[in-house]
Amino acid sequence: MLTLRAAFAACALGAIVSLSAPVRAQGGADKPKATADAAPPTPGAPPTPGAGASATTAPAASANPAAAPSDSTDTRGATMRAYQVALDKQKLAATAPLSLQRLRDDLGTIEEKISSGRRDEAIGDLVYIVESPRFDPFKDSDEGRACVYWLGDSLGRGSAYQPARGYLSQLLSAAPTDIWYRRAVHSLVDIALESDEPRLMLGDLKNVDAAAPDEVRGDVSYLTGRVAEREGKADDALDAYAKVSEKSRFWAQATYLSGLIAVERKDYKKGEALFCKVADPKQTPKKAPLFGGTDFFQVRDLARLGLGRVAHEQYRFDDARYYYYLVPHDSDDLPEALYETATTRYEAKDYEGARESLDELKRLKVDNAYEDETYILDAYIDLATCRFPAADQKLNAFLLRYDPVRDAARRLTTDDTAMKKLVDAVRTSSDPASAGLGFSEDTARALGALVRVDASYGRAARRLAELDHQQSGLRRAMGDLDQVTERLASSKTVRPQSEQGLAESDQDKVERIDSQIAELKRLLREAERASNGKQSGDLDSLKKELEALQIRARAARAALPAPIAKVGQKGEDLPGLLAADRERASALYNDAQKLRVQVEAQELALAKDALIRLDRRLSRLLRRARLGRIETVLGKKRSLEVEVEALSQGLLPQTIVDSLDAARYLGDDEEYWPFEGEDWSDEYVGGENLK
Amino acid sequence: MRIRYALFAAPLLLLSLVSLVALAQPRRAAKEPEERAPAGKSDKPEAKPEAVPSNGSSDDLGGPPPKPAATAEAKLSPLNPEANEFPDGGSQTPPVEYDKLLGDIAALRSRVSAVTTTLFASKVRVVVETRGSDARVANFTVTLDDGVVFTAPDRFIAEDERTVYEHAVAPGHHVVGIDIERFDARNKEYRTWQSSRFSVVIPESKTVDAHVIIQDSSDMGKDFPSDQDGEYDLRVRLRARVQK
Repeated sequence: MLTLRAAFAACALGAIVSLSAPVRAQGGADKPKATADAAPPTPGAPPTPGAGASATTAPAASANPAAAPSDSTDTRGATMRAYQVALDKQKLAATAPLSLQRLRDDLGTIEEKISSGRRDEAIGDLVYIVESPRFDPFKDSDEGRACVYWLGDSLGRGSAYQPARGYLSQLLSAAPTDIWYRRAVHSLVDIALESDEPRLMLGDLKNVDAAAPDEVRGDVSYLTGRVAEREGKADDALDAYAKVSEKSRFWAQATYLSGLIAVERKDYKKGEALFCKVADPKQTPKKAPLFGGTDFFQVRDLARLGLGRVAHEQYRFDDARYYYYLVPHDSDDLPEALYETATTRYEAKDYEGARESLDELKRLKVDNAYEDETYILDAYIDLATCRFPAADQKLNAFLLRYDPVRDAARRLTTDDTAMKKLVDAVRTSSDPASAGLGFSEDTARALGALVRVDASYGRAARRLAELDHQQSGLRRAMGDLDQVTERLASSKTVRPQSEQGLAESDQDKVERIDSQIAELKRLLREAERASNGKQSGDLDSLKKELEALQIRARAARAALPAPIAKVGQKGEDLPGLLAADRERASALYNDAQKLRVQVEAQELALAKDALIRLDRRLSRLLRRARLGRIETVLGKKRSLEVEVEALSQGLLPQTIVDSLDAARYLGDDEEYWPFEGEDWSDEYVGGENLK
Repeated sequence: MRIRYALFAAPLLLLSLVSLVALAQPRRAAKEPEERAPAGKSDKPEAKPEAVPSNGSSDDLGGPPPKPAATAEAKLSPLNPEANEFPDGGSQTPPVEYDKLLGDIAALRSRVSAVTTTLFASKVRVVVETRGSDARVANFTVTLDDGVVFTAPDRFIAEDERTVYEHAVAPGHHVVGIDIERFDARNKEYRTWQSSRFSVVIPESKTVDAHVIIQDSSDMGKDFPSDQDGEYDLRVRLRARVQK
């Protein structure tokens, strides 16, 4: 039975481990999967360290859609260089010479922009500097390399992996001790962990020198291990993880993942030893927490949970309790540890211990994904301790609370918008009751608490958000291109006031239609809830109308035109380059629209999967609750039989013994004062010394 | 003589047979724990293999019958989750063109940004200031004309003035948009979403400071739960000023 739990642990915890990559990403968060999404190695074009910013490989994405992703490190810098030449010919290029001091000043501003979230601006500024002929004399200087690094890193954080790799790879031609070399490696590893194709970045890093510092090689080894695990090569992964030294920021992750592999192979002893290395401060190398940062301590909590599960798997229930106990009180994993402690104690038939853990979990007063299971376990502990009325009460309360939640989960699976709202609310930790789902607040919150969002959903949502962000920026870029073209044609031209009203574009209108439809769906759900499942002709006809509206809304979105402008003659001069880019922008916008449909479908599929899994879980627990209620009836009957049998043998049952003793009925937090006569002198002021 | 020897040998033979029977006793005793183990530890999936004698050669009856294979599945606790309740561990890989497309768009946007920096002398700077001690920003985006130019990171706060966008733009009319979702720190249920659009005119070769003040003096989160009477008081102000 615990194999299942171990599998879940591997899956869920693996996801959290990957969160610890010091990017805001949840990259590489997936559990290693045998083959499904393992990209075949793509030897492709090797990175060309030291090469200029021009193209290194030709993109080959659409040649075969079913094939491997295109392995390109093209920075797309050639077009910018062509712009620089064209601007220079028209005497429009910047003429002020670059200097190290100016680069230093610019870098200060750019770093500030990056740190305050103005990444797109920073990228524009950096491209302006790096893709200028004036930059060439400085490209090998410390400042120049810093510019290239920040450009590559910013592009990578914005999911533009191909140009990011192109820029960062340029920095790998220096000595391994160079700070920008090291930072480039770190950045490439972070990007790889975040991306869906980490093998491509691993290819960029294959020339990392053996003489590179420990922390750099540790990064590469960790990535190698993750890639191998992703491809189902557990032995290779173990070898790679073993090479991650204590000076690497990934030491804890690598050791923990090695432990997971050992546990998956049923080598519990080895797995336990590896988990202990992370979990036990005495066994942890002294430098590992220093290099690991805050992520280290998250992984340590996971290792302690892992140890608990391994002990549980081997029926060492006391050991399991000890390991769970080590999870600190400020840990996010504490509810999980307490729930599992309770399960362990229950299985060890230590029902009081199980009850204590559940009480502690309740005292935390935090929403957790085990709320429903805690309910059932609580009732089953009562059953095991023959407290049949209490068990019956709890099971009944569970049925009342979670039956509507299960029904709501089922209904949501047919409404994409509401489903996405709920899963997004869970992912972003906002209140599901305010997501406009059309259910009661309690039901919405219960749904939000119980949905276990898979790490891959986070990645899919991020993909969509990044695509939307880029599309929005592209719309603005198209407007800018039109303005520049007009400005070149007539230098006196100013941007006119829009003929449309504010927020009256086609895009705005379609978004308003979508939100109105979402609101209609919510109202319908509320009406359905109010009708208590009774069939209503009005409701059915409204539903049909809504379906027709949805089809029209989808058609309206699909028919949204890309902002198209008159495209001039293409060529090598500035107007020609602008015309080419304007045309390219329209094409990219259309491609993005098409791609968006696919990405959104993936996101919805994952959201639906989360709700379907919740439905299955709640159905199982509801079945279990109903069976539990039968057990309580049987238990009550059996206890009566025992009582009667005891009475027939002249033994008084426990319920009768001392039944007149009032103290017997007091709770733990109550005190019994026996009757001491009518006059209690200490009960009124001034009567203390009266006789 | 032969009869006497026969009479002497018979008890000896009998004795040796009895001793053989006695020798077989431990074998039976060794079986007992195996029979008890499943009853005593009903939740364990399998008995310890060490309990089975490794050498059965001394016994004509051979080893004990093999234990019926008690699989773990057969003894699952009903409180344990089923396999289909877990994600399959896989991830949906993005469409093949995704990386290329994003790379192309990002590169094009950066090029356009660089070109506009060179060709436009006018600039717009958007500065944001948030006021309201109990208001927290859940989502905040700044748009300029058709596109988003700033998306706030998590836990965005701008109690002091904070520049969120500064870039060269074409002189003339532009639309600055502010989309903000806020919630009350005292009670997260009370949320607001506001979308505002401001038309600004950027003069030729000048920088315009668009100072956005986002104020929230709502008391819904505090008052409404207690006395069913509260108020949302939200303001978004923009002051545009040409820098001298």
